[in-house]
Parts: sequence; C-alpha cells; structure tokens
Amino acid sequence: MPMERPPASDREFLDRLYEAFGEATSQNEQVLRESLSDEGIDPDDLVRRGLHLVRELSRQQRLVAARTRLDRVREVVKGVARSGERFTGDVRRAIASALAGEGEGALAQAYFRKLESVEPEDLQSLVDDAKILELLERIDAESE
Amino acid sequence: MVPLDPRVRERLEAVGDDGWRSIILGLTNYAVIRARRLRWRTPAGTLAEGKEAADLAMEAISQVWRGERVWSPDARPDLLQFLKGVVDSRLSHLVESADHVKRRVAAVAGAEEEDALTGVADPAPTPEEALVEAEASRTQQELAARIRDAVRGEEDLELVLLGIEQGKKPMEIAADLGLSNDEVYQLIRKIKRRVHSAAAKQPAR
Repeated sequence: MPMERPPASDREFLDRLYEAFGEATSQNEQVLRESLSDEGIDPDDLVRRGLHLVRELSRQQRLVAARTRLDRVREVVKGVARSGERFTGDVRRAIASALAGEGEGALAQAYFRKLESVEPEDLQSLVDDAKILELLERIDAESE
Repeated sequence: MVPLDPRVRERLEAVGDDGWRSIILGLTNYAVIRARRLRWRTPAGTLAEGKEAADLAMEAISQVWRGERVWSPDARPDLLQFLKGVVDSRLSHLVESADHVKRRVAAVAGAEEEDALTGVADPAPTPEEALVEAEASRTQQELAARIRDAVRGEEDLELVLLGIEQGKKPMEIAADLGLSNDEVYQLIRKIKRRVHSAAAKQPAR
C-alpha cells in the first residue's frame, strides 16, 4: 500500500479510527444491532423504548395542535360574536386560517371550502368549545 | 411543548415505525461511537451529568418532537443526519462541562496552595490546565499504542489500520488492498472489538 500521506498524531489517529468505526457499523440494520450489542445495549429493548417515546410524543403533539387550533378558532368566533358581525365569507376565511394555522395556504383554502357549506347558526354556536371540537372533528374526518 | 408546524408534524408521523426503528438504532450507535471518540479527545475522559451516550439519542428525538430543535424538512430532508447534529451539539456541551469541572478542581487545588504561600488567589489555572492537557495527551498516546499492539501480527488488520491512520476512507483502503468494501468494513469492525478490549484494560483515571 502506498505511504504517500504524513503520519497522524495520536489524536488524529484516534479521531480517524472512530470515524471509520461509525461508517463500518452503520452499513445495515444487522450490523447496527451487532455493534450495539457489543456495547452492552439490547437493540430490541432500545427500539421498544424508542418507539414508545415517539408514539407518546406524537400523541402529545396532536393534543397541543388541537388545543392551539381550538384557541385560535375560539378567538375568531368570540371576536365576531362581540362585534355582532355576521358570518360572512371573510369570517369563514378567518376561521379557515385559524383552523389551518396559516394565512392563505392550500390547507386554509380547503378548510374554507368545507366551511362554506356550514350553516350560519352552526358557526354562531362555535362560541361553545364543545361545538368547536365537534366541528374540528367533522372537518378532519371529511378530510381523511 | 411547542406546537410544531403541521407540515413538520406530518413529516415526523410519516416516518412510521420502520423508519423510526432505523433512526433509533442508527442514532444510538452514532451517539455511542461519538461519545467514545470524544472521551479520548478531552482531558476529562467522561461525560458530564452522568449521561449515557445512548440517552442522548432519545433526548435528540424528544427535542425535535417537542419543537426545542427546529427541523426544516425542506432545508434538511435527511432526518437522521439532522438528529446526529443535535447529538453532536449535546455531546460537545456535556464533554465541555465535564472538562470544565475537572479543570476547576485542579485550579482550586492550585489556588489554595498559592493562597497559603502568598495570600493572593489566581483565577487563571494555566499550569493546572497544562497538567490536565498533558494527562489527556498521555492517555491518547497510551491508547494509540495499545491499539497498534492489539492488531500486531495480523497483516490485514495492520494494513487497514495503517490506511485509517493515513486518513484514507474505507473505500480507498479497499481499492488499495484489492478487497471489497464489505470486507474492509468487517476488518474495521474487528479492529473495533480489539479496541474495546484495549480500552477495557485502560487504567481508571
């Protein structure tokens, strides 16, 4: 083998060695599992704990997202109720944006189309949180 | 918990169980190897806060889901690579913390001696730092020598180790030796097991 490169310091040598270990132990899942076992880590237990964590975090994020949407819709609807404004297209658009969490994006447009078919009385009832949740569930179910 | 951008949440959910399994295994292996590597680079020789390297993988995943680390799928589509960056950042912090504690212990011991002699406290622990650095350097030297000893007499391992020492990538080493990439990876893993044995014989510091 050609010897054209200068010798490394001990620190450089160890750095390069661990870099190579990283590459050599991540080639496929079987190799990863063996490498972790060599380190005293049970890969099955690790995956079980990791997936449990991911599912729990996903659940918490869905709750946070639902709560955030609820807060946004509640603000819009209460604002409308206070002002005595009617549930016009603009109000429906504002509710759609609150549902989507964005301005005029594709998701907000989709919500707006769904809200167009909702009766004004139903929108007025949205001052009640339970009614907002009911509407959110209905719209999301239609979206799936 | 910070609410995630709905598109980011959807992307995280779309990874699915199989994808997360690969990420969990890959990220943990990465954290373990990075932690081992950093241990030899620093005088402290250990991570702070009693963390296991494997815990850091779970922490990185949690930080992304909680919105504490903002992942932008458009800018950085490879989630595993992004998570590796999160692990690196946390590891550097932990190593620096451990290093700092050790330096301060040495500095305080030095300052107390100086106080007794002169009545003046010197907050700059330069001689002690030099002492700690020298200790780290000696540890690295001893480990490097032990690794070379561990493969001595086995030509294929010695050649692969030489290639790594010269800064060559596994693919280059494979081309030099007329081996397949997989064969070189197998030899590197064999060296890794030898290194573990060598490290296990390392006296506790």
